[in-house]
Amino acid sequence: MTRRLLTVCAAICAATPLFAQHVRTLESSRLLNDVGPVAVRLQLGTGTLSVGASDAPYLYRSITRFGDAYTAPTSAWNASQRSLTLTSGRRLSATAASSREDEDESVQDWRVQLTRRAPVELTIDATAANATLDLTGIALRRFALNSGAAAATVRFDAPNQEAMSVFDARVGAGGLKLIGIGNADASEMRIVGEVGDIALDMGGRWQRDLRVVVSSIFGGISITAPPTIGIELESTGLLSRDNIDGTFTRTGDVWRSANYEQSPVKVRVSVRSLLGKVTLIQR
Amino acid sequence: MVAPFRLVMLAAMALLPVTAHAQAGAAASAPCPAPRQTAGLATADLELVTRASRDPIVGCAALDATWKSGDVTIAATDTVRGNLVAIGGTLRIAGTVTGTAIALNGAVVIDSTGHVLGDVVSAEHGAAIAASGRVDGELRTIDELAPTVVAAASAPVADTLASLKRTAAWFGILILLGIGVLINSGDAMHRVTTALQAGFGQNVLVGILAQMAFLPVLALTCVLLALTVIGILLIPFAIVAYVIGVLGLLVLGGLGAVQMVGAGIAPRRPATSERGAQLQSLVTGMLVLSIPWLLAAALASIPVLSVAIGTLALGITWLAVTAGLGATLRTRGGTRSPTDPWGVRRPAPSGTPLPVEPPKPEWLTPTPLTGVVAAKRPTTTTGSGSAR
Repeated sequence: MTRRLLTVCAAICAATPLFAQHVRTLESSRLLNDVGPVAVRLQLGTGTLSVGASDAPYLYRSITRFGDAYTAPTSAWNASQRSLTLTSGRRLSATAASSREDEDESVQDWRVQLTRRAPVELTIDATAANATLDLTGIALRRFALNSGAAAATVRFDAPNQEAMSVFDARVGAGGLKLIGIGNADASEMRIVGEVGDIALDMGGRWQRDLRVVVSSIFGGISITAPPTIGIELESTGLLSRDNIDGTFTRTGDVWRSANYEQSPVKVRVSVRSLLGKVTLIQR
Repeated sequence: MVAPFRLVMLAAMALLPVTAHAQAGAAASAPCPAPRQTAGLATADLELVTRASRDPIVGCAALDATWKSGDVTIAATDTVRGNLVAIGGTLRIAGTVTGTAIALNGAVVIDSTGHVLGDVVSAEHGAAIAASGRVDGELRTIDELAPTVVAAASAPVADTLASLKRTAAWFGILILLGIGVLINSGDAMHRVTTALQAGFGQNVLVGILAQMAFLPVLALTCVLLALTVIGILLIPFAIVAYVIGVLGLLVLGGLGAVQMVGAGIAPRRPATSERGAQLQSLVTGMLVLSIPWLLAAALASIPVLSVAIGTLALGITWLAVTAGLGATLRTRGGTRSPTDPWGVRRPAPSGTPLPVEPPKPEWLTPTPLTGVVAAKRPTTTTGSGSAR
């Protein structure tokens, strides 16, 4: 009996050193050879993602800190189509990952810096990753965010260098916060949320009118607008209710700010919500 | 009888590292072709290059390359055909490299006249890239190469251990469940076990028929409830109750089958009490039935074997549960005797009189002597008239 126990212990001890813990940091980049428009797609499963702009002579610079629970990040550049796909590491099988007790093993922090010099069409697929996207300074022509079960924050702290055709955001259960929408210089904005709050800050420097369509199943929608723009809100919902703060007139389901007709910039927001509070504040 | 089980576990545990190492070796040698020329390369450097080639961030270019040790400078007039690896020093490129430039344990500097047509990689200690020249590919810096032979095996080993843990946990839960049933419904389980011992095939047949009838009966119940209109509201509750009831039957039957297996393998010792013998049978049976599941879990890193043994384990478990279900139904949930499961008195062989059971007393509470209750108490009369 004792011998058997010793054999079991020996087998366990032989297996134990196999679980060495590693967290590595990969920095990858590509030199910017010209300033032609580029389509960039960032794909991330789990972890955290932060995106920003850079003045460095790179098309992109990606810094990933990842544990052994993830495979190495990959990149693919198609020179003829001028498309770049950066993919974070894929999480190893759930059984392998769950058996690791060191929390560092499950780390995946991804920071991406994109060039300010070339126009970019940016698509981000963040399945279950918390995303902080500071798009200030990136010359965005088009933006799309597909987020699953994690929160996303998108901010524009300075005017976009390019006119953005469409801003698309599909968020699952984590919610979405947009800050400085005026700086995005978009003509159309489509936001689809399932469960979670959606906050739209209409601050920034406005250069043209904007049409915003927001669809949400469960969760509050809050819109904060500066007094310098005219805003119209059409809110329809089955069990939703409106909370309006400011000088507005109401016609049916449509709320219109008092300065709407006189304002040089008009923002029309259409909200369809199943359940949740729709808040509009203009101050 | 537990001894063989222990031996199997020991063998499985002992096999784990062997399997893992074997897989790691296979994974390591598969992706990259053998190095072109290893002459002149120190053993430690060769190991480093080999390890780097296994890391997807560096890749096979490390093996299919020109290797140089220490600080390496490519002059502006020089051109290196193919990949270039500098080991343990700074790689400075003022000329042209037509492939990928790699520095292991060192930095890479691309001068303004330098041109690398492939990627530039700097890995391990002192990894850094300074590029003022032209690079057509990607620049990659990794502070540490991926752990290879041993660590590459960690995922399959972790998978295997996780599978073993999960399987062992399930059987632990089932043993606890069995002990709970034994305490609360030990007699019912015993009747089921006895019914299984009396006729296994017959119980399997009943169990299969019952499994085939589960869904139709549920559907019929829902339809009947819907027909009553008011019963529509009860349909969700009926479904839940039905599922719980079926699960209860399956658990009782499965545990009965487990106990039967255990009783067959480890016969009751004379000194053991009835309840103790039941517990011993339950645990033994559970351990025996867990062997194929544990084997399948232990071989999780070999998918073909794991699936084959897992299928076998599933088949054995299904058979046991089906037979147990049949026995449970035949004993009406363990409430009837296995020798007379349907509660119907069979005709005795000709010439043998049926045993006559003594009449059961209808009044078992203390006999009231006075009051209304006493007045209503039935009494046995021998003649005509009524009792007061």
